Amino acid sequence: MTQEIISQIEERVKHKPGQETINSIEGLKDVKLVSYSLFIIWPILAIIALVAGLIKLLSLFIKKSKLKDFSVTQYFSIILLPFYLIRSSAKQKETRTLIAVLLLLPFMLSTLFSPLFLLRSDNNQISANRGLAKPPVVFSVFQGNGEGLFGTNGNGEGIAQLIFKGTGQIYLLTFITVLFVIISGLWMGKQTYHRKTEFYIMGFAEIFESIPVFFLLLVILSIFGWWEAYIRESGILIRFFFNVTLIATIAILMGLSFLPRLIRIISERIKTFSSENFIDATKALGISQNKILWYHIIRKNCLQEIILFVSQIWASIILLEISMDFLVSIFPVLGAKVYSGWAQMLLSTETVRAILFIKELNFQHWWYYFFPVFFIITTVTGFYIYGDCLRRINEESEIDFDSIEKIPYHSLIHSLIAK
Amino acid sequence: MNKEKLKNILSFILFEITLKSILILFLTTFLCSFLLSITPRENRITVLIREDASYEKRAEEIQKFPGSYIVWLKNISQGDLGVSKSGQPVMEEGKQKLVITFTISFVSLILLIILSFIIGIKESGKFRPLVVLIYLISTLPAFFLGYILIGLFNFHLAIIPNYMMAILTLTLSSGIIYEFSKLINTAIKSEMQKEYIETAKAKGLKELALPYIGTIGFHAFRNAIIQIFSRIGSLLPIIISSSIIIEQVFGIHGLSFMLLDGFIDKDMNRILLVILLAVLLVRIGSVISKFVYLLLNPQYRYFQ
Repeated sequence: MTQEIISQIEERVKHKPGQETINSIEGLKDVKLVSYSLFIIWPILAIIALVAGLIKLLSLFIKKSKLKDFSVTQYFSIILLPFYLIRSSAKQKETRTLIAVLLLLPFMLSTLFSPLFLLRSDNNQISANRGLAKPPVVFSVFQGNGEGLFGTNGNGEGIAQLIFKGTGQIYLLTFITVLFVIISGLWMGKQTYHRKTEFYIMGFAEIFESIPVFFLLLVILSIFGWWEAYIRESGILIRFFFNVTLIATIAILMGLSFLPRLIRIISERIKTFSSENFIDATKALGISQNKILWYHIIRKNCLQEIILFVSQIWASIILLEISMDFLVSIFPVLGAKVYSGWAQMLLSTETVRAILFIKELNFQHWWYYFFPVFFIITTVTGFYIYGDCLRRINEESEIDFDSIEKIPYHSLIHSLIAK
Repeated sequence: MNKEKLKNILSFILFEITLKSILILFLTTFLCSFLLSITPRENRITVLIREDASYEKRAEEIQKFPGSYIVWLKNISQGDLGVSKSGQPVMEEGKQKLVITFTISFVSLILLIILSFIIGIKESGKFRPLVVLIYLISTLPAFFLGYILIGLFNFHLAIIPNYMMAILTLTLSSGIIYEFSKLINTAIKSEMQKEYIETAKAKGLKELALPYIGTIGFHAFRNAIIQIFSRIGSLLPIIISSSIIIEQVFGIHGLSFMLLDGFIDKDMNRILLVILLAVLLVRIGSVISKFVYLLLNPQYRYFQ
């Protein structure tokens, strides 16, 4: 059984067509293109976070208002969950959220450093290292392919490089999927306010709930694989667009499996709130229906739920990505050689052999699988715990309708009547 | 039976079982055959693997998209699902592999539901360390857990058969346990806070967390189960899609092998059949879960 698995994987690695391209200069170009896109995205995110934080600080000074639970910065922090994690954990002073942040720190840091390691793929070094398993050395941290940090595996690749490359890819993919899910889910959930469109949209949600999207994903990956063999020798621009469309389609297909849940959440919220008194008040004031939906229902009363939902799906997107990457790296037919996620760091023949011989308690090459598994477990449990904390906070601060009626709109109406 | 209830069930059968499932099957197969039709004719990998003279002919057949799909639909209506590349009828191969994936995924689904019920009810207390361990295991990727299980139990002597281990990994690693057990926990807790529980307490019913008959826990459990049943249908696609990976790891020749072989051969009939069967499996599961929900919840109306 074990020998079969090892021989299967060895054969696949030998015949893996992507291996040749990655070790050649052309393959490097592809990897670099992905890294450049990461370089563009990260500064933009950082700038948005900085600007949002500054605006918040300024508004605090000018208005002298208190920190509200859900404000403008959270709009950005849906996208920038890591930054939001730090902020909210500092605010809540709960030990659990702090644990979640500590667990997520390696993931966050490695996403920041991932572009550096993407550019450092030196093929001469990999080929020189082949067959030599180097253990991690503490004092030579950023040596070469990051091999000093976590050692190298039997194929000669630095494990740190594999991890950081994977985190960059995963962050990019999860970021795009979450964006897609939020934007389309908000729009579609908003449409359920009308009776006519509600029927179609709930039908759409039901259809996509009962399709195993993973099968469709495999079909599309195989198609990309067929195209990849065709496109390999074409120019940089075409390959760049190929990569972009690949990541976008994977993200959209992954998002489709999570989209129905968000639509359900928003439509339920809209149904409960549309019969409330304050909505009648806004209608009486002559506020347009769009503004009522976007601002008074979704922005004011749904945001908490959406952030909770995002923190919950983030972990499952990562797990889905790893399982997809496993199939991609084992089957050359599924193509997409540019894509290298977290599964690839556990799939070199030497690593699989080390895992299979675990019964003999032979931990000679422990660094092959320890660091990758450590990274996976910490990030997924971190997201789980964080989602749990958010849910608990959400349950505690369930909206009290009596208190809502007293505050803004009734006073507005009273002032209008007085005039 | 009430007239209204009969009407409810009849409309459910008409829309959910016939119309909706036909629509879903049509949509997915149409999408897949369209996507398969836009692939390039020359394929280096497949040519390397199989150097066939008849290959190019078949590639040309796939290119003609709407025509080939209509022919496929016509054949299906007559009960003919086509022939695979090796010349054998696809349906025979499909039947064998469907049984395998069906047994694995449904047994693991039932195990998963039972396990998450136990965890959801007994989350806190002295079982806490065990629950945390199960949560930690569920964060591991499926293939890694599978390799570890092979290494632990199947290395020197085959203690546990392959199928059992595959089912075990499917239940533990699909990442649903955490979410589902939390859902059960919150559903029961929210039910225990309601007013009818207080009247039950006032009447002198025993207060127990476990669902024994004649206690408060049972009443809360019975109402909480209605909330939970609506979610079971959405678990199925996740389990069936993660069964692909587990079949690959343990070498169980289920639907996933048929699908991937179909990709290598560019065999449209096989790919479409696998997708058809997978969608059917999911559809049957979701229809059953919805029907149970309809029977359990007397307030539910199919057409509101």
